[in-house]
This record gives sequence, structure tokens and C-alpha cells, in this order.
Amino acid sequence: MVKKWNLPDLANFEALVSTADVREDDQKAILETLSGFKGKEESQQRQKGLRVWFERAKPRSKEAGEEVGNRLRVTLGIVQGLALIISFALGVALIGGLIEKVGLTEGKAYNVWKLIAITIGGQWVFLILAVLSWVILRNNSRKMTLFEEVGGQIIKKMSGKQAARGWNELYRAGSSYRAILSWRVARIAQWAAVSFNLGLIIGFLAILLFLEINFFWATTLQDIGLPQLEKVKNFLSIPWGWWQPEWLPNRDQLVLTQLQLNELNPDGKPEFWFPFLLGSFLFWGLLPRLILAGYCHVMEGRSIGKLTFMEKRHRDLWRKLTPRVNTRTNYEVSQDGVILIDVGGTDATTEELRPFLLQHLRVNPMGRFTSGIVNGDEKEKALQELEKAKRGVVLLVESWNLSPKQLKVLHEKLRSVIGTNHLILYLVLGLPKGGVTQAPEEAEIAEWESFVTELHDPETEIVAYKI
Amino acid sequence: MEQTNNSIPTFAVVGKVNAGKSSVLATLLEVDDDQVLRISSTPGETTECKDYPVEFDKKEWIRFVDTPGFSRPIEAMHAIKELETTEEKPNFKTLQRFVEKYHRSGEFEDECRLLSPMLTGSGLLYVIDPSKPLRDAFVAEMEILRWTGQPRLALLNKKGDSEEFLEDWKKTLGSYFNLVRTFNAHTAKYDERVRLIRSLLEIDEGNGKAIETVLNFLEMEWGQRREESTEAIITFLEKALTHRETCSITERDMSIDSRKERKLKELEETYFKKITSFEEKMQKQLLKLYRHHLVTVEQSPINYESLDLLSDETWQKWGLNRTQLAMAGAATGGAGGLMVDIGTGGLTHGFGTLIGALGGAAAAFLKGGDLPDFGFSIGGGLKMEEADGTALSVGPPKSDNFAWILLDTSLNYYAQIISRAHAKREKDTLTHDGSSITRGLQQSQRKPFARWFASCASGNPDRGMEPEVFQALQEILGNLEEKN
Repeated sequence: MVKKWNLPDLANFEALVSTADVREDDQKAILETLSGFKGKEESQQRQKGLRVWFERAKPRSKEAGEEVGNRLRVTLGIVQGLALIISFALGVALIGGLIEKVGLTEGKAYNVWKLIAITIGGQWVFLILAVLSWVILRNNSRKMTLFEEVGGQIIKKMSGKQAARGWNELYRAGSSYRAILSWRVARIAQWAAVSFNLGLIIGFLAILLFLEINFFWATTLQDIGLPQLEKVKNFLSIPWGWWQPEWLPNRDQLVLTQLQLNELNPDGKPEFWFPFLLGSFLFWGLLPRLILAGYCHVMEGRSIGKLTFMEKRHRDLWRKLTPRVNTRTNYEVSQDGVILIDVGGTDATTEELRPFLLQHLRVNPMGRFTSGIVNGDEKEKALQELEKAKRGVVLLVESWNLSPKQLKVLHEKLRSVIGTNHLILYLVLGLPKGGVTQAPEEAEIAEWESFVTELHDPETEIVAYKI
Repeated sequence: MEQTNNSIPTFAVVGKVNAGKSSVLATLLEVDDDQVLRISSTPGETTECKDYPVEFDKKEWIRFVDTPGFSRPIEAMHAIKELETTEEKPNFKTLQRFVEKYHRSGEFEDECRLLSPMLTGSGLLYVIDPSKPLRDAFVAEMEILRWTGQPRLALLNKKGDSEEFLEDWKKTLGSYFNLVRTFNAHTAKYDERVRLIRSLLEIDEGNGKAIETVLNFLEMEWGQRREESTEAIITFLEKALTHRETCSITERDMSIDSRKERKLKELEETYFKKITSFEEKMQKQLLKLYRHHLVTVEQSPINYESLDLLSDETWQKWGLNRTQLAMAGAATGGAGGLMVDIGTGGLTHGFGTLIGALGGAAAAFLKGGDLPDFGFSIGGGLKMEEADGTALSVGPPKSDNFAWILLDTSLNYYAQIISRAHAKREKDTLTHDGSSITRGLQQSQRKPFARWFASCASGNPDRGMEPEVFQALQEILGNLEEKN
């Protein structure tokens, strides 16, 4: 069973990618895993295959190893923990800070309008603005939103230098990991908001439990104030009012809690408001944040599931990990190659002689060098090239131009280089007529034959050129 | 599938001298090296049988044998007939007797050589040029090949334009061969190569598995080449679009227009040379992937130099820009402050270092230009000299079209490379005829490129966009393969 990816593992993986530590058995293991994913999309195959490699390469790398992922995991835990604590404290502080002293007796009380506007309204304004910025900025720019940027930078700084390499790849703007990071930052933010609402609720309950608190509302415009408050009450109770109608203060109770001449009505009991406000905090504060935190969690998982691992460094690694077709391209060179040594500088060109060499002698001229001329003697160069000539040497000689001593020296020199098993062939050319090389005279051939016989070399032949 | 050497499907490529047997093999096996497979207009280039094993992953799956052409088919046919017994028409055994008799005799040397592979069980690909008339010699060749009784495929490798004899050929070939296919070795591309190998399945079903494996490998290999070509092109584009040439110029030279212009011109020349070198590297990679050795890479045919480059000037002191100078100031100030901290025995609680660093950074940032100028020369030692300067930077071209030109050039090269058959032996150079492939792209195809190009031109390539561009480019290369 191949494990699923998560954010710390991805950071660890990125640190390992740069090591490109690929071994032959990694390829086999991946191939085995992928055999179960044949026909699936390539991105899915890469997710599984790279995970297999990651699990194998992790223990091999002392430098990258688990360290990067662990540091990021710890950092994320610390960031989330701090965010929860701070948010909880903020929630408690806020609910405590909203208590007002009213009237001559300076009785402690909540202004219901203010309480609802700041605790629930403020959160929703913040949430709507965040969602709007997310929608607008994410669609128009491939960069992170400011909130994501700040959150990301904090995590990056806290992760330390060791995690930087993996993290940098994760964090780089425009990377395919951006969505995952965004959802993780959003998830932390939503859990912080959950904690904030818990702080509000617990603080609220504690205040009710340990302090004598009243509730009031005030208005200057009598005709508008009360109906508006009723509307707000009805709206906020939509999610739960049908379930607990007795939690809703009625019109008379609302009237009783109105502030009159800056004094609280002694008949306006806090019980009228307490269940309604608690229900509102639960359903408009805590519940949406819980839903959003869950949603961010799911979306982070989906973003991970959508990873294609198609960025350049992933493609390079994937190519190393998956079997590449290894085609043979180095065919053997034809075994009929010969070197032509033009003795004395004949007029016949290689192209002119080529058909005769191929069709009659079954050899292929691979190179031509000249020997026995005043300027540009290439004998030494020819000797170096003899290695390539699998079938030996063809000496181009002119029928009328037999110099036994000179040729004998050349012959011995050649034999000392190519050994005794390779052919030395004397191709005797006649005089050219009208630019075309002719066949030699029979008498001249006879002279050449006797010369070759005197060489006493069984691997030497003589052939007369034919048109 | 385990294969042993004995069960490897083998196909001999036979035909008249100069019919293009080696050309067919060169294109089929992607060999453009004359040392390995000789091709020229000289008849009789192939003098001996030579095996060409098709190996994938170090295992041989199929083998082709290049053979010398028929030299004397009519005489050979008569010689074979003379060997037939009264009970039987010429057949496999008769051919065996023929080879036994004439092998090393000096007579029918080519015929003996070319028949040898078939006598050991290989199938055969008979290559003919249908632009030539059907003569008796060809009929004799076909007759001899039929006597082998081996799986036979006739390949029409048309060298000339004439179609006058095509019908005659088709009618005749049908009665001698299991299958007739057209394959022009000098123009055939990947698809045609695959089609030819698929044809072998039809004539040799017994070796179907091995042939199908070869087809699978070919498909995989082609996919890999396309992927690696995409990588080469995209790397080239990113390098070219993000490249900047920079140099430092003194304030005095900066104030003299002619000197500044000359410096800018030098930078522009270096910039374009660099772009050309990136392009050459990409071309070489593509040629290597598709195994072309006779195509050379030359200077870019595109006159990039007509394009105006973006240029930027950054003030410098002692070769540092303002931020770097501020950092250097902070380090210096911090070091001074540290001395104070040490001097007070730590009573200042590190404030000396902090104040020194902040002060040094601020002073260097705001008043860096007033710092004294020192210069050093071998003859004159240390002396006051101008050290204020400007970092000049050029590239990429102002026009947004530059990126599209580069992409078009790359696609043109790719199209040329994939449409060149390996049988061609003329040396060639990659050119860009100015035609635009990208103009034919749909808006949806252009969009990811446009966004990515813009990010590259800004010097910060969009990593999230790049995979999308990679896939779009791979698709375009696939379409080019279908069109070309």
C-alpha cells in the first residue's frame, strides 16, 4: 500500500529531489508499484511512483532524510498551537472588554447591539473580505495573498535553515504547491478562529457564572430601533430558532431591556438574552469556522491529490526512475573497408575506381593517401589510418611505373604495421586516355606479377584494372 | 518474452543491385552513417551480407540482413533449374544444393550470399524500384525468391517520378509475394516505419509477439524523444528569455554618449551571441535525439540583431549597487559598534553593534556617492580615482514577438528533423524559412505560452505555469509529427 502525500513529506521530498539519488532497485520497486496503476493518468502514476522512491531514498540521505519534514511538522504544530492560544485569549479578552458600566450604579452590562456587531458581525466582515480577496487575487495573480505570504514567511523563518531547501521549492511563487500551502495557512487561520469563538463562548459563560451581568440595548429612534433589533434577532435565530424557540426573547422582553435615560430597567432580566446570544455565538461564530476548518482540511488533501509532479526537476527525476527505451545504435562498421595508397600520384580518382573496387574486388575504399611524391607524402598518415581498414590495403600503381626497390620498402613497412593476415592488393592501372583510366597492357601485368611473386607474401595479390 | 538467438525473427532485405535495399534499412533502423550502411548511386555498394539486430534494452527482438543485390538472376535461375530433380519443381532444397555448389566457386557469388539467410529460415523483404520497367531479370529474381518458401513482403521503393510501370509491378508482385507495400526510403517517416514493421506481422504471424514488442518499444521510444525534445526546447526558451548581459561602466564613460553607446553595442553583440549559442545547443540536442549526424548546426538564420533590446542602468559604487553598498555599510558599522561593545565589557548590551550597523547602512545608502574613490594601478600605487559607476544591463528584446520567434524557430527545426529520412546522405543545415507554425495555434493553445513568456521576460519564470506550457508544447510537437 503506497502512503499518501502530506505537506511535511512534500518538503522532505523536495529536499531529496535535489540529491537525485536514484538506484537500480528503486526503478524495479517503482515498476512493480506502477504495474497496479496501468492505464491510470500519468499524474497518478507519478504520485505513487515518486512516493515509492521517496520512502526508499529517505533513509539513504543523512543530509535531507527526515529532518526537513520533521522540522516543518514541528514548526507547523508550534504555529498552530500559538495561533490557537493567542486566538483563545483574544476571544476571552474581547468578551471581557465589551462589558460596560451603565447608570449611576455603574452596573455591569452588555450592549447587545455592540456585542453582536463586534463578535459576530466583525468576524463575518473579516471573513467576507478574506474570501473576496482570495477569489479576486488568486484569479488575477499567481502570487500568494498577503495573508498567505505573511503566514508562509512565518513558517519559513521558524523552520530554520535546514528546512529551507525543501521549503523554498514548496513556497516558490507559482509552484504547484501554492494551493496546498494556501489551504494549510487557511486551515490554521480557521482553527484559530474556532479557538477565538471558543474563547468568546467560554469567556461569556464564565462572566455569566461569576459576575452579575445585565443586557441592554439603546436607541434614539424608537420607531426604528426595536423593529431592527427584532429583525436581527429573527435572522440570527434562523439556524436554531425552530429547534429551541424558547431561546428567543420576545418583543416584551426586548422592550424591558431597552436602556431608559441611561439606566437599566430592573425588570430586564439577563435570562432573556443569554440563551439567544449563546445560540448566536455557536451557530454564527463557532459552527461556520468549524465547517471552514474542515473544508480547508479537505481542500488541502484534494490539492495534494491533484499534484502532477510535472515541474522540471520532477520530470528529470521521473525520467531517471522510469524505464527508458535503450535502443542499440552502435552497429558495426562494414567489414569490407580498405585504405587506398596511391603510389606515385595516379590520375585516377577514387570515385572513378570505386565501382571497380566494389563490384570486382568487393572492397570499399575508406580513405586515400598518396606516397612516393615530392610534396605531400602521406605515407605516415596512411599507416595511422590502417587500423580502420578491416580488409587491408589497396596500392594504386601505374602499370608503366614499376620501381621494385621503392615498392619493396613500402610493402615491408605496410606489412609491419598491418600484420601478416591482412590483404595487400596491387591494383595496376593503365595510362589514362581522354581522362579515363585504361586497363594495363598484358606485358606490363606480367612484370608486376613477377614482382609480387618475388615478394613471397601469401596475402598479397595483384589485379589488373578493367573498364 | 524470452527470446533465444535461434528464435529471433529475421528478415533479409533483397533485390536487384542498386534497388535501394540499404536505403530501406537505413531509414528503418535510423542509421545515417555510411561506415555502417553505405548508400550511393554506385551500384553494388553492398558487397556482403550484414546483420542488423534490432535491440531494445540490450535484448535482440528482430534482425534484418542487408544483402548484396542479384547480379545475374536469369543465369542463376537457369542454374537452379538444372539442379531440380525429376520428382520436384525447384524448391528450398534445390536452392540449398545451388548454394552448396556455387559457394566459393567464384560464380553466382552475390546470389549465393543473398540466399544464405533465407536458407537458415529468415523471411524476406524484396525491394524494387517501380519507376523502372518490369524486365525478365526481375521475374527471375522473384521466381528464385518464391522457391525459398519463406514469408515474403515486396516493398515498392520508388526512386523516380514515373508511374508508368507501377500497375505492371503490382499485378506481378501479387502472385509472388504474401504482401506488397509502398515504402519510400528517402521520405519515409516514423509512421511509415511503424507501418512497415506492422506489415511483418501479416507475413510472419508465428513471430507476432516479438514484432509486437518491437512496435511497443518503437512507440515508447518515440514518445520519449518527443518528451525530451520538449524539454530541450523549453529549456532553450527559458534560458533565452531570462538571459541578461551586464557590465559595469564608470561615471565618466557614462557621461560620454559615444562611449556609452559603444559599451551598449558590445553588450548587445554578446547578448545575441549567447542567444545563438543557446539555440545551437538546443538544435544539437534535437539532432542527437533523432540520430541525425549529417545535419549540421550553423548560426541562427534569424536576424535577431534587428530587434531592440531592453536596457537598464543601476548606479554602483566600487562595483556594488545601493542595496549591496548599504549591506556593506551595515557590516562595517556593525563591526565598529562591536568593538565599542567589547570595549565596554558588554555594558552596552549590544547596542553599539546595533547602532553601528543601522548607522552604517543608512549612511552608505543615503551618502554612498560621497565616499572617497580609490584606485590602484601597478605603476602609480594607491591613488584617488573615480569609482562611481553604473551597471548596464541589456536584454531581452522589447518586442513581445521575440519569444514567439524563438518558439517558431524551434518548431521549424523540429519539423525538419522529424521529416528527414536517415537514408539521405546529403549533408544539410537546419534552416528557418520564415513560415510561422505558432500563427496557426488556437487562442487557447497560445494563452499558457503568452503568460509564461511574460513571466520569463520579467526574469522570474512562473514555475506553476511551466508544466502547462510543457504539456501544450508536447501536444504541438505531436501535431507536427502528424502533419509532417
